[in-house]
Amino acid sequence: MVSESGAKTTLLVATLALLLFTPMVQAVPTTYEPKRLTTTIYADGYVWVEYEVEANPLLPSINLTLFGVRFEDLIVTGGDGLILDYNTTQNGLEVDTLGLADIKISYFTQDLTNKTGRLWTFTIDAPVDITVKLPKELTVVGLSKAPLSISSEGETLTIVFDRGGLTLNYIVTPTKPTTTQQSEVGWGGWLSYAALAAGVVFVGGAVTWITLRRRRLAAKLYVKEKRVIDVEKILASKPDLRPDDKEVLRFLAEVGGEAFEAELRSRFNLPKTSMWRTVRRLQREGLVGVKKVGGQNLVYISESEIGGGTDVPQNP
Amino acid sequence: MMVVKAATLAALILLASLTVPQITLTEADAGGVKGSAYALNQILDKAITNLQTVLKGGEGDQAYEALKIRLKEAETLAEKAQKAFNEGAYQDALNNSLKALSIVKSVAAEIKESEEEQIVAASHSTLRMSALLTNIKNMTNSAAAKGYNISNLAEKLAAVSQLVDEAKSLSAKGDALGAGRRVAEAKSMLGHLVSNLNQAYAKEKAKLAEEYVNKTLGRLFGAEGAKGGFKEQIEGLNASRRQIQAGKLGEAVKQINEVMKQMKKNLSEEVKSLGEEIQKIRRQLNDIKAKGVNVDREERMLQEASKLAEQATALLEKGDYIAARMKVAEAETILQRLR
Repeated sequence: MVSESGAKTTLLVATLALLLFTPMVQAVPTTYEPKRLTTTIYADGYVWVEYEVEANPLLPSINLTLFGVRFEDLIVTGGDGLILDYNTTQNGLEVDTLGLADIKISYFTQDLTNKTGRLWTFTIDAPVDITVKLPKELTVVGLSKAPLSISSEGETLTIVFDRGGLTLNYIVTPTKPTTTQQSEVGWGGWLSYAALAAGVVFVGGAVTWITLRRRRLAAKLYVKEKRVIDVEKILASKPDLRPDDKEVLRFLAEVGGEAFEAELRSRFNLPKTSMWRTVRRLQREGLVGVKKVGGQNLVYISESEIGGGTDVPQNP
Repeated sequence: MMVVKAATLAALILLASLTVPQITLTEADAGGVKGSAYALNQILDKAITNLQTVLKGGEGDQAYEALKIRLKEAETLAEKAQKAFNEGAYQDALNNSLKALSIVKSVAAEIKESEEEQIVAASHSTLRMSALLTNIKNMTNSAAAKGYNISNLAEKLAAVSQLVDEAKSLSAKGDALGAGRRVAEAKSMLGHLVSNLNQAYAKEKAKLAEEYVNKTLGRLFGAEGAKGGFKEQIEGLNASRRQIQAGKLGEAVKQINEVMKQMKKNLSEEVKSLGEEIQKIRRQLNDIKAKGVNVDREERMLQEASKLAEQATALLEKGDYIAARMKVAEAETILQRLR
C-alpha cells in the first residue's frame, strides 16, 4: 500500500517530467481549417483532439496550428494511415505532406481544460462544427450554447456543437462504487463469494423468471371489457387537452375503453417515460384510471366519464 | 419466502448495476431547435440525476441540504422544458433547459471534491491509453493490409495490450499507482512502436517524395515561357531526387521544402515589383494623357497586365507557384512592350 503523500510526490514528479519533455508550441489562427473536429474529454483533464485537414497537394509541406499549447502522443497521418513527419515551429507544426491532400492529426492536450473545486471547464474556439465525446463518468453541468445533437456510442456520450467558441462545464461522477483498499481474501474466500453470488443470481433469476411468466400469463389471460364510448363527448368536455392526449383517448375508445400501457406505447411509438407522463396527465384530468393486471399497467377510460357506475372495470 | 424475496432483490440490483442507460436518437434526429432542445433535455436529465446521487452522499450536511433545494428549482424548470417540448414549443423548452442548466452548474460548483473523483481520473489515464492503443492498432492493420511485414510490431502491440489490461485491472482495484506505472510503460512502448511503424513506411514515403518531385518538375518543364525563371528550382529538385534514390529521404525532403519556399519568396518579390511597375507606368500614361495624347491602346494593355498581376497574386496564395510565375511572365512581357 502506498501512502497518499507518496502518491502525491510521484504525481508531482511525473507532472514536472511531463512539462520538461513536452514540446511547446504557440497557438495562432489556423491557416488550414479542420474539415472535421472531434474532442474526447477524460476525467484526468486530458483531451484527445482529432481533426482532419485538406492540404494543398501542390506543396510538399503545410503549416498547422494546434488546439492547445502543449501536446502529447501527436500522430499525423496521410489519408490511408501513412505516418507523416513533422517539425515543431514557433506557430505549430510543419508537416511534410509530400503532396497528399487528406491529413489527420491526433494528440492529447491538457490545455483545453481547467478545474476549480469540483467543476471542470472545457474551452475551445472551433473553426468548424465540433463533436465532443464524454465517457460515462463525466456529467455535463453547464454549456455556453445549445448543442446541435446528442447520441450515445456504447458508454460514451457524443454531443455536436456548431462552430465558434464553446465552454462546457462538467463534473466527474463515479458511476459505480470503487474500492480504495484491497481486502486480504484468499482463493478459497473468492471462490466462496463467487459461488454465493452465482447462487444468488441463479435463485433470483429463477424467481424473477417465474414471477414475470406468471404475470405475463395473467395479463395474457385477462379479457378486456368492450364498451361503447362516445369519446367526442368526453373530448368536448375537455377542450384544453393536448392533441396527443386526445389521440390516446380516441384509441382507448376504439379498442373498447381499456388497453395495456405497453400497447399504447407500441401504438404511438413513444418511449416509456413519455407514455407514462401522458397517462398521468389523463389521470389527473380524471379521464382515465390505471390498475395492475399481471404486473402490467392497464389503462381504462373512467366510468364516470362514460356515465356508468363503478370507476374500475370488473376483472375476470 | 423472505429469503427468496431477498435473493430476487439482490439479483435485480446486480442486473441493474450492469445495465448502462442508453439515449435514444428518435427525437434528436429531427435536428434544428427541436434537436437542440432534445439534446439539452437529455444532458439536463443526466446532470440532475447524477447531482442528486452526489448530494445524497452528503446526507445531513447543511450546505448540501441548501444545494438540494436549489437543485429542485432546476428540476422544476426541467419539467417545464419537457412539457414545452411535448407541446412542440421547442424554443421555450430550450430556454427553460438553459435556465435549469445554469442552476445545475451553480450547484455543481459548490460540491466538494472527493477521493472517488481521483480514482476515476486515474482510471481515465488507462482509458486514454486504451484509445491510443486502438488508434495505433488500426494504423498497423492498415500497414499490414498494404503488405508491410509488421510481425515484430504485432508482438509489441500484444505486450502493450497486456499492460493496458493490467492497468485496467489495477485501476478497478483502486491501485492507481500500479495502474499509472503500467500506463507509463505502455505509453513509452507505443512511442517506440509508432517510430518503428514510421520506419516501416520509409519506402512508401520515398516513393511519395519522388512522385512529388517528378510531378513538380513535369509542371516546371511544361510551364511555357517560364522555364528560364525556374532554373534554380529545377536544379534543386533534381538534386533532391538524387538524394531520394541514394536513400537520404530526410535530406531530400528538407531540400524539396527549401526549393519550394525559395520559389515562393522569389515570386512574392516579383509580384510586388510587378505591382509597383504597373503603378509607375499608370502615372506616366496619365501624364501623357493630360497632354492630349491618345493612350487608349496603352491603357488597355496596362489593364491586361494589371489583371494578370491580380491572378498571379491569387495563385501565389493558393500555393500554385508555377502558374503564378507564368502570369507574372505574361504581365512582364506586356509591360516590356509598353516601355
